[in-house]
Amino acid sequence: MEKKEIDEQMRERHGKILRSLDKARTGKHITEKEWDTKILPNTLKDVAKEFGLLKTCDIENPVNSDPELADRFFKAGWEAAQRLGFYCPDTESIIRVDLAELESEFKKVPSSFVAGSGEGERTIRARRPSDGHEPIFTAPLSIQMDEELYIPLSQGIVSSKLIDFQEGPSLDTVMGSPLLADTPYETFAGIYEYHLRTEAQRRAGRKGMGNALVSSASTHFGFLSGFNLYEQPQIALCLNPAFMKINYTTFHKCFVANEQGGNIRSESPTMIGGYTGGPETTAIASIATDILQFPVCGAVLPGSPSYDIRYSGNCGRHGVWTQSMATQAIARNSNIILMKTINQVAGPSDDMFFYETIVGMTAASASGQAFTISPRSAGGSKKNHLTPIEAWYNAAVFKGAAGLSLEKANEICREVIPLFEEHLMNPPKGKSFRDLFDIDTLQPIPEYKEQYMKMREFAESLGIPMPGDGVIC
Amino acid sequence: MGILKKIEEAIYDGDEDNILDLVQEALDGGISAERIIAEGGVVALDRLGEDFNNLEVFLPELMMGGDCMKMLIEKVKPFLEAGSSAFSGKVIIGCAKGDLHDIGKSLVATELAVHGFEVIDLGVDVSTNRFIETAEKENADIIAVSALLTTSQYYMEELINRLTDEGKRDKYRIAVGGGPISTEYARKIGADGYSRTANLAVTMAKGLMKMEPTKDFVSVVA
Ligand code: B12
Repeated sequence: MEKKEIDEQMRERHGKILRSLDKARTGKHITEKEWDTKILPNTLKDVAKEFGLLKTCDIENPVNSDPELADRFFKAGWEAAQRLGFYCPDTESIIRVDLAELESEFKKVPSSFVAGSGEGERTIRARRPSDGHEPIFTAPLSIQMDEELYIPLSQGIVSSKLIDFQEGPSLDTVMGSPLLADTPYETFAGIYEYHLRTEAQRRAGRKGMGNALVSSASTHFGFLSGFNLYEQPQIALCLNPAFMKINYTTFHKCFVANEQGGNIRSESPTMIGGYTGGPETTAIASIATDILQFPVCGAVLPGSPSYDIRYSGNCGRHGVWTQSMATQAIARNSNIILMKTINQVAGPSDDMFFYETIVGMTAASASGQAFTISPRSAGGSKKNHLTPIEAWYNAAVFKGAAGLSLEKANEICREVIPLFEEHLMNPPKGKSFRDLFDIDTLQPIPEYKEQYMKMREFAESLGIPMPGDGVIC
Repeated sequence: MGILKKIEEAIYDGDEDNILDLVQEALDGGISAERIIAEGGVVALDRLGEDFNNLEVFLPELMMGGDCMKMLIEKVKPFLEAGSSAFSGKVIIGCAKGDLHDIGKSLVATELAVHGFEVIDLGVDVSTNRFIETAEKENADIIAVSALLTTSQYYMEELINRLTDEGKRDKYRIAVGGGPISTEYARKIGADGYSRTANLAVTMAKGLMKMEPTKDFVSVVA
């Protein structure tokens, strides 16, 4: 092949990342503090004011049902994307995307992509609010498990046909050694995770199942060693260091993902109460982040969720309102295949976990999310606090709520939020996999099975048709 | 509006341009440094804290209030009566190596700054060496480490072991926190303090300042 032809191919595959790197290298120098405390919050406030969005948050109606308002949020997000761009902490400069580039990239955003192979192949499609097409469900989030629980837990989770892809859990030891972040242990973890995961999927009869990768990788090392071991196409986990920011770690991963034919998933949450301010400006920041992902790093699966900084979750009123508004804005006005996470804070076997799930997943599915990854039982930060049941329940609500009207979703949220909201600041952490399951038979203890069935009935009674998990029911 | 009220408003608004002039005016008017801190600064910061909990002000405002309070304290320092100190203590804070989760850490840093601690924020991905070098150089009272990743949590124990091996452990109070950290874990690795949230970190840090390193243990969870 001529060098010219090679260059042409390379440009096609990697040109976007090279261009962003060039912009980062040559962009105007700005300190991170100035960006975080001045440029970003002031721009968001200005834009919210210009579009008449301040004080539009209505916590009595957590799921918006005013399409005009959602469209105005989209316009504000588009404006913020143009004015801000992504900040790159490695070069301390801004990667800007001007209007012409934004418009031309926006036209190229794919509205579907494929991952997995054979029986495991799934097409992920953009959805609209109240879309009757089922969204895609991936489980679980990167929750730390004891090494010996990795295979049984994964096998248990993916044995349900409701689970389309696997992302977590993650490890913090590798063959008994500590998995220290940012060291060669991590490089090994990327490889080790591949072997454990493949075995779990084989045992569950899920050959060809697609994955979101690499979970046990705090920096890029685990990704660089692990991603290319899988048969492609897969989903590449190239998270941003923060909303409206991108760094070298993300770019390292993007090059590898592009070369392998992977699909880039990119995001970082906005925090209500954090640098982005209140619910309205936070929603705008999430929309702007999602709009910029494809032009800056070629992500086909963006979705910056919004959490409430007071409790690090998003199933309370402000969290649901902000996230469902940002979702509707994107889903109504673009082809972006939107993913966002629902962050429960209660743990396995506590009723609150199921209530949070009903609220978060119903709002997400009805608002037009195409894809999610869940659960985040106990906020994701308590080791071993995850079982297959939370994953199946999340998937059933997310898929079951497809097609619900926004008014109905709002009604459900209004009914369920009061059942748990007073505990958001100091939530019950629930029980662990060992407490709730027989690890050898992969059966839940009778009390937990009963609670699960009762909670499925509760969701049905609210008007969510719950698809069976194919394992217990 | 009285001068102390004006100072309160300036801190609340993060008005870095005017705070020093206002403090000077108060000093010229014979108001004691202690009253300026308590009735001007602290009152504003308490208001900021409460409004933050109600989502009426946000992290940037809180940080700017903290920065203004630092300016106020530096300005009145020479006028404090002997025996009363300006800052409640000096804290070095950062996220453990490999960890980029800086939201909780920044909130803790801000809460401490807002409540009168002198805070040096080393940011994210901070190596054990850097924590120790900075603590030595700055003569810190507290080293506070945040970890949200269990794979970075290991470095908390490494820090304590290194300080012990180098004979420096009794110079610093070590505070740890972040999602996967618990009272039990903090105790197990031999830290001096733990708190569940940024609000509670202020009570914890004040508790730490009342004790000698390694001699006691402060955990504030509710
Ligand atoms: C935001 C977030 C991110 C953002 C971080 C953005 C940023 N600039 O901070 C991004 C997208 C970059 C990210 C990336 C990753 N993340 Co992350 N992330 C989160 C998330 C959703 C929220 C954390 C947060 O900011 N909370 C808000 C603040 C206010 O709360 P907080 O941090 O807990 O802090 C409070 C207290 O803990 C305490 N505190 C905190 N620090 C300290 C320190 C002291 C001294 C004291 C006293 C108190 C204290 O006070 C704070 C305020 O009250 C959590 C899940 C969750 N809900 O917690 C996952 C989570 C922490 N991430 C997780 C993972 C696995 C990752 C990745 C490895 C994913 C991947 N495979 O790529 C990467 C790692 C990147 C890296 N090298 O650090 C896991 C960690 C699991 C574990 N136990 O190790 C979690 C729990 C999610 C999960 N299980 O699915 N993440």
